[in-house]
Amino acid sequence: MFSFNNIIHYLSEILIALTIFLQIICSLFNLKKISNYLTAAGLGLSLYFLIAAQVWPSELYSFLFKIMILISSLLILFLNTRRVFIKYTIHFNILYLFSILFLLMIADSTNYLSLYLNIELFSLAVYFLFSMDKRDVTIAESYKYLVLTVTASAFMLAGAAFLYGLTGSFYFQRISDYIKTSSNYSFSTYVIPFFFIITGLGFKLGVFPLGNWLIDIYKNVDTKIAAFISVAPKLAIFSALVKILGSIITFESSFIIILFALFTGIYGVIYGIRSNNLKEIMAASSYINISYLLIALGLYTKLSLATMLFYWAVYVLMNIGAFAGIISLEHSNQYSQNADFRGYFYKNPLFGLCFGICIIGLLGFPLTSGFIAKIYLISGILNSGVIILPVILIMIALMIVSVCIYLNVIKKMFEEIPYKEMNVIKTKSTNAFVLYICTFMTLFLGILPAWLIKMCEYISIYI
Amino acid sequence: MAEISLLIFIFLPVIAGITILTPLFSDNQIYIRRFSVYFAILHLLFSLMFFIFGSNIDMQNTDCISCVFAPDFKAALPFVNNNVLNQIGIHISFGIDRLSGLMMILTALITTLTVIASKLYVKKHFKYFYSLVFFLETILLGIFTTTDMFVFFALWELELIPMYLLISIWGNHNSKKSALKFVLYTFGGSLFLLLGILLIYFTNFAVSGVLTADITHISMNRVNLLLQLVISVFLIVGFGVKVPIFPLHKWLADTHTNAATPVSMLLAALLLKLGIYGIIRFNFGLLTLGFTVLAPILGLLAIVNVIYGAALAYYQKDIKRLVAYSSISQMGLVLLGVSSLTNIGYSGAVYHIISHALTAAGLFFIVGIIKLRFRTGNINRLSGVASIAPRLYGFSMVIILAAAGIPFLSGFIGEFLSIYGAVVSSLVSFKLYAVIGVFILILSALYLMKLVHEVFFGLLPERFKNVQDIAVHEFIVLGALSFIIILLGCFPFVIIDFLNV
Repeated sequence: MFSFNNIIHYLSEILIALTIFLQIICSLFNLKKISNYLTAAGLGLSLYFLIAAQVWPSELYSFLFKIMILISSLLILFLNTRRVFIKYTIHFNILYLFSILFLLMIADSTNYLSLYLNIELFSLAVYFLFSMDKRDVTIAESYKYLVLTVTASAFMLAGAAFLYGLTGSFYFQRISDYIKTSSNYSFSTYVIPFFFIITGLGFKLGVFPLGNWLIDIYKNVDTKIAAFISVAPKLAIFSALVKILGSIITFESSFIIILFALFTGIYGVIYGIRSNNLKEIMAASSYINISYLLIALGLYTKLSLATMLFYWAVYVLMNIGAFAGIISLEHSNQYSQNADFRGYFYKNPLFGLCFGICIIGLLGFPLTSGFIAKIYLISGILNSGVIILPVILIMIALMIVSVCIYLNVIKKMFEEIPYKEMNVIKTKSTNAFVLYICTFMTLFLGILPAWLIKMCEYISIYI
Repeated sequence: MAEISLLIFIFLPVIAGITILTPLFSDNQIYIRRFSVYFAILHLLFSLMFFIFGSNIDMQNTDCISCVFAPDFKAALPFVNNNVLNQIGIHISFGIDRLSGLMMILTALITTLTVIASKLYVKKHFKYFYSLVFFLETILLGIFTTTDMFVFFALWELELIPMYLLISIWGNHNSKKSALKFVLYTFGGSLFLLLGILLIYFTNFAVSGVLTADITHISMNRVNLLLQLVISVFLIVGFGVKVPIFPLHKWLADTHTNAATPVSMLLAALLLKLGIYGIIRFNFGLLTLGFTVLAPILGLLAIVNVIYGAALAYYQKDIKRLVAYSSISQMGLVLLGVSSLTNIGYSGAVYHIISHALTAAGLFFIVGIIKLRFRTGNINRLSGVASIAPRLYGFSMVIILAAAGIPFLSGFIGEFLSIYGAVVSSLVSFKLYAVIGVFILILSALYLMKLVHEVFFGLLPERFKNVQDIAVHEFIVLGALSFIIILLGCFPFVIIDFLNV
């Protein structure tokens, strides 16, 4: 029952809804100038109330995922946009807040119906975000995305219906209870619903056979929205996946997820090795990192879940930092899609250094948080037994090839060209601010990661 | 006091590097070079002082590496066990025993010579170059002195960043490609190293119940043979990239050919030694049982290294490639000494590490001088260098003969002891390896004499009439190297006694 005593648990969502309402009022009077401040204030307040709320220990992980969603969307809000978006600031903000609201609800959902509903609503909001600049390419890509995502969600719904037929409930907890108490449980009964659900959710993550939309979207939509799509929805889906797998995790389901993950990683590496476009490299990086994270998730041991949480926290910051660098590059090149960044370092050493640190962090080099995350992730996976050694060897092969992908970026940055041809890097101070924050956090977590590791291990105990 | 001075010694180069990088520091090449050279010389003197005085301090310290390490070594230097940055969860600690003490002096010496030698080869971004060299020095010193496995691994990977930049920015037009190759190989190997280290960490926890990454506290004696073998293979793949052991050597020649001369010197003299150091410290020290089983295979790989490197060196047209392949051959001898599992072989290996560091740095510098003056590295187009540059010829002969293993020069002692170690080894296969090795040593003389004959002797072509002999700074570098080579060749027991007290 609804009562005002536990309103604090929903306060962050309510605040975002309120902000949307205020934005609509803004749009009536065309108050463009305060719209961005209002959005930032709304997200900040909602973050504050999220942290202030008391949480059940068993819900701590979705709480962490929600915090990461809010922080990442707050950081992405400060990035620069195309001129089209400046024209439609208020509309952009409304859609942006809508999608964040639905993401928070995906992360919190406890049954398949609310999960499905929120995913659909999120997809709709994001569809409008994609096609906001009204170019033919983006309209086509976003339409493709909408059709595919609706199909994938239908698969998930079919899986949920199967589960309902088997267990009599849509709730994750009740399904888990039913499976635990039923005497003749065999995974083979649950293979088809499990497969359908993984298909539906895997589409959103960009898992191998279904993930092609990711590259097109990254390449064609505005980079700010690509940055948003690259982290926030995946965080929410992972939060839901932790719950879903908790209800039906077995050896076989782990095996299926790890298989999906390995294929995704291999696909990403093969795709990334021959791409010169920075956004394609980011798409490949997304495939590779999602594959590591899915392996850790699929094992579903305490330590591997802790390493997954830590890796997410680190990956979000590095990824947003890299996107901030890409946006500033695009700015200096009149929004060309193939950002030309030769000699970037010599022109603007501080900016080049920060961008380089984010890329090196994605690579997993020492002094950055990526290094700690890499060691911690491999140790978490290795800890679940020697049987996992082949998977780790494939992961190592992926890491080796991904060095090639990322170092191509670094290589170009140090390439020397005549001074005249060099582009002057002009960027808004907010964009630089985001890049500096991400770089600082990457270095900070690389040197003092213990507090976050302890937090992740504490959270993973209660999952 | 000793603890703090060790920490200062390790981190001093970083401070120097940052000082150079600050905007307040002059952009003038002369000032940057002057500062770097003086700093490097002071640092070298500091290392000697530290070594001499440090050996008298706190002899009774029981917490030293030799207790766990191997029964043959007795450490004289105290152990530093700092809990700096303990909140990371990884225990950062540094310590030195005899081996790492020697490596520290070698690092300081080679860095100093490299800084002096880089005058004519670095023509742009002076600030970045000298600061990167100093950063690299600190990382190397850290690798040689740290006792924590994870710190070792972190530094092992961290070394790739300055090395990548040094190779790619100051090399020739192909250098970016070969720098990428270098990083790929080393990074790939280092992931296997990580796997091995994590397995040691978890196995030690399972056996002893103590969760520690400090190699002085880890004991793998009770771990069964199969697991030891698995870990050893992972570690050897990791270290073997750096040595380089035969199938993992592909990066070396390209990287050397395309890198600038000072970077080649650093790479050959110091970076290659990391692999052997790791094998001695981890495989030889921690996983003795697994290493005993793997030793015949490693010995075979070492012999393959020697033959393969020498044969390829003989057929090279480019003198820099010739020297690069000779490195592979020489490192094979070091590996033979280590894997013979005898005290003598170990001494010979360490001796040859030092000797090879000196000769390889010298050879790469000579090749750099020739390439700079004569504008070509092709062995067929060069001849008669001795007639126009007698001083260069004199120093070159000392270094080349040392590399070929002529008595009274340092190379002879290392080669002799390594092979002698293989002869007295209790493993039968090593006697065969020793016989093969002795014959193969003729090959090394062959390619080096080919170098002397083709490059230095013969008629000087008309177009080389105006070439200058070596300058003062080159004289200092080559003179210092030759002096130390002769010194070590005549008084080998300075180091051998030190290693086997």
